[in-house]
Amino acid sequence: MKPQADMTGPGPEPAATSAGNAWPLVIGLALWFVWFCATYGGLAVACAVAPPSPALGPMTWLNALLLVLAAACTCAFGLAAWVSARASRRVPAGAAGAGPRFIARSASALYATAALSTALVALPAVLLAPCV
Amino acid sequence: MTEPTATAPPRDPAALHAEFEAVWGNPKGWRALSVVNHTSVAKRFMATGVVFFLIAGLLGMLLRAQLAQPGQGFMGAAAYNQVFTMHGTMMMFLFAVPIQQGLAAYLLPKMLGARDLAFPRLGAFSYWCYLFGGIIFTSSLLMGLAPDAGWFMYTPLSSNTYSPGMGADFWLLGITFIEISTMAAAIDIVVSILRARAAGMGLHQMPIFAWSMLITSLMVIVGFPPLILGSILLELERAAGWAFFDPTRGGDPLLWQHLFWLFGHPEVYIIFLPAAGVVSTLVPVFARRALVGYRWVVVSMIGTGFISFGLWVHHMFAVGIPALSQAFFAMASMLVAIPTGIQLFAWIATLWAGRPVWSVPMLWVCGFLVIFVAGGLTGVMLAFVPFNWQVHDTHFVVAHFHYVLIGGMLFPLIGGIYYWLPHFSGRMPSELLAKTGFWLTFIGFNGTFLVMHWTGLLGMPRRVYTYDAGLGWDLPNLVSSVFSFVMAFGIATLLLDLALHWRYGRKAALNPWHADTLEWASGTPPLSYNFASLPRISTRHPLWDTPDLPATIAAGQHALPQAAHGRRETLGVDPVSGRVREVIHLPGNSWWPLVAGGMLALLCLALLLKLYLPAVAVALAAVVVLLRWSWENGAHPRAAAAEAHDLPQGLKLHSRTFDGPGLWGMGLTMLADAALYASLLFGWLYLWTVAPGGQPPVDSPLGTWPLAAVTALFGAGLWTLQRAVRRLRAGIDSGLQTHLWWAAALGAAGCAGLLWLLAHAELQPTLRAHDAVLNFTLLFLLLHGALASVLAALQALRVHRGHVSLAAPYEPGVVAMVWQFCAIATALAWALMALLPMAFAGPP
Repeated sequence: MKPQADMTGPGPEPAATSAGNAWPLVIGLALWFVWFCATYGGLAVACAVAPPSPALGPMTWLNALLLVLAAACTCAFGLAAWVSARASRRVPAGAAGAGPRFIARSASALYATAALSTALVALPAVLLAPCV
Repeated sequence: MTEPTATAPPRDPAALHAEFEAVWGNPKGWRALSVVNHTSVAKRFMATGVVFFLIAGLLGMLLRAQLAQPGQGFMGAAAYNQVFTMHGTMMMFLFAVPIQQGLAAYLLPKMLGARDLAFPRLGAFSYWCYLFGGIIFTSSLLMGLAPDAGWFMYTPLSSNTYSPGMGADFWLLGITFIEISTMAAAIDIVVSILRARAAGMGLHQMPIFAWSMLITSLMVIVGFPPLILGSILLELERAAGWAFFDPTRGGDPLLWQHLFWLFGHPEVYIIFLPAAGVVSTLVPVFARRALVGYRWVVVSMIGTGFISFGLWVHHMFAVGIPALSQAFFAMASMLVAIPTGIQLFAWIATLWAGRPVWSVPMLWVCGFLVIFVAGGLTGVMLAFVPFNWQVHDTHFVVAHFHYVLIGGMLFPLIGGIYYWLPHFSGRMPSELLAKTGFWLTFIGFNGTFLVMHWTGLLGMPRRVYTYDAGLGWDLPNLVSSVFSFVMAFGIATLLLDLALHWRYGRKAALNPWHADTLEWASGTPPLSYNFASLPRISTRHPLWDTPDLPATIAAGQHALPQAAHGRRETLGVDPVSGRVREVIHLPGNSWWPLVAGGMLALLCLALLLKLYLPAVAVALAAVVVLLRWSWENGAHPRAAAAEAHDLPQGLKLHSRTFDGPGLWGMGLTMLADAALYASLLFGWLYLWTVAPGGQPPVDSPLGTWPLAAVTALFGAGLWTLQRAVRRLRAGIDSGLQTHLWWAAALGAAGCAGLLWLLAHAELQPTLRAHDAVLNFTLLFLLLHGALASVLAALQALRVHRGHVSLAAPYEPGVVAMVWQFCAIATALAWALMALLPMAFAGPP
């Protein structure tokens, strides 16, 4: 029996843009988690292997390293947020572009969340000694 | 390829119903145990969850009765320890997560426009594991053998020395068994959301509840494995004497805390996010407008899901971690409040901008808003390290997490149950009983736990079975206890309402709340097949935008409007765009899930009773059962007809493609496996770098080359299998069986290499944590290598029988994922456990 239903024409095609892919929704914060674990784990290992003198307070090579890494990650996430926001503006208007536009705008917000989270979590390294 | 649209001529709904019921209807009598239909299985999940909730609630009442007055002799210390351990464990593992998974399993296919979940048999298996595991675990209470080390089972308290007897074993084995159920359900839910939706329903149009369950289930898949690993390691330490958490042998009790809280903190959000999804579903319906900030709510839930994995150490602020590390986690703990706050503002804005109708479900939503905000604020307080130290292990913390969990989960859940009650039963609840139940619960809850904040601030520690008079704790404890009984009366009232409404509730209309989501088009109560035809969806509010949808669905005017072929079918779509890719043929009723669940229950019991030889026999039998179950998949005649000429033009059954839900199911299983393995590697590195005395010797007992050889063998097997898949994709199936046999042989050779290593590496897992981790890793790799080899051999047999071929090329690609994991895991073990110590380790 041939089906009675359904045979009349395709639905709206997703716009041919990288924003049509859903991976950007998870990559930013997944990398943020990797950074977070690397920072916490790296600090623990550094404090076990070569702890800086507590007398130096936060002015240590370890704090500097953590802050540089955090700054680099913040910039990278911020850049990704900007690129995603631009991509969302390039998606054609209308129903056909709604999906990719949703992905791109959401990804932009999530990359921005990753950037903000990186900057804020790393902030105590400006003030606190690393291994005390 | 064309897509389904609403153009077919209508058919007689009664005839259509009879046609579908013949294929989808449930058998009666004892054969009902073989049912796999998601509606039936989900109802069982929810009913079982309610039973465990009542048992755990009664235990909570016993605790409050004991603490009502100082020096109370109602319970001794030993009984009290068992009761609070069981109360917490049952609420978390046997109620909060399973009942929400049950609700999701019930609703999601209906909301998404599908006829069932992607893996109905896996859903049934998940239920049986939950039921059997729950019964085994709860039975410990009746036998006086219940665990008594707290729901987090900290070592060394839970070690053999301080917890002799079977109590801790009940927890470790029982909870691991139940976690199998949770993981299986989570995988089923993720694949169903991504792959089994209505045609055209893009991610941006999914119901918000589906988003919440997608994120929650992914969190389960990544978040539960650390605890599963920890439980296995602790049970190995207790049963076989292997050293993992014993500092005298190079282990570290803090490793358990890390593994537990790596699971434990995301668990809070695993419990909260589905409830938030319920609230985001209910608020727009009763506000009579679309959710304000749909995209922001989705972004918030994704953000919450990820950030919640970066908070686990805030449960460990008192263990002596450097201030800077604590500050990282304190900042992350404060950060997670932001996405939660965004959701809160979205709900308030929706109510503000809408025309709210106040009804019973909204009472519970409002109760949730009040209580959860208070719990969230005390959560932010606890993120401050100095305050955390002050109230650590006091009743303040108990009050906080009850505000978060009861406010954040129970209230929305009950609101949701009232909202979907007409869907479950076709009847409406009693307004009077429902409102009485709400107010008693709300007042009782706040009287119990608001006061408990004061008790905690006055310094009363948690987990003490009694206290002396005159410490200032008498009155607040008495107030808490009295109000806890008020809350119990509230719960009893709503249970009475639920029980009575089945008989006396007035009949519900098809869509009594004028909701926008598709589940209300599947009947009240729903049909066994949900939809007689599958509509194309291009809006977030299908029933608001197309009010006649239920009628056109029932008249078969949409896709796949026939069941005379005898197959259970639903559409398989692209995960992002919702474009139709294939027709998923779903398996029918089967005894395999029950038998497999029963075998695992027997295994659990054998391990509990320390009958290790029978346990090995049962484990092997369970593997045989599972493989036999898998044999009926794909293109097996019992799974689907050899040819299907009645599909919409351009569409194939999924087993005739290179795509399909099994591919996604295996991918997610490997993701969970990877999370477990990553936790193991974390444990290895943690013991090496941080634990006192944990440094490995420079010369690894594994040697340099044996693991390299095993890696090469597994890598060669993977290459062979992938070559077979590539050739299939190119339309060549000659030599397919030979390739698969070669892969199986290479895997067997790799396993032989691992066995040789286990025999010759002279590891002493009972003496050194380092050796225990190596031994466990080798066994883990051996298990996976053996599984990969057996699956490849099984595929070769299926080629021989004609179940896998150019016409049905789907399965080898699924098996290749196991091989990928196996090869990568072995390579990582070689790099980290054989090579890295040569560069960095010190003398033994």
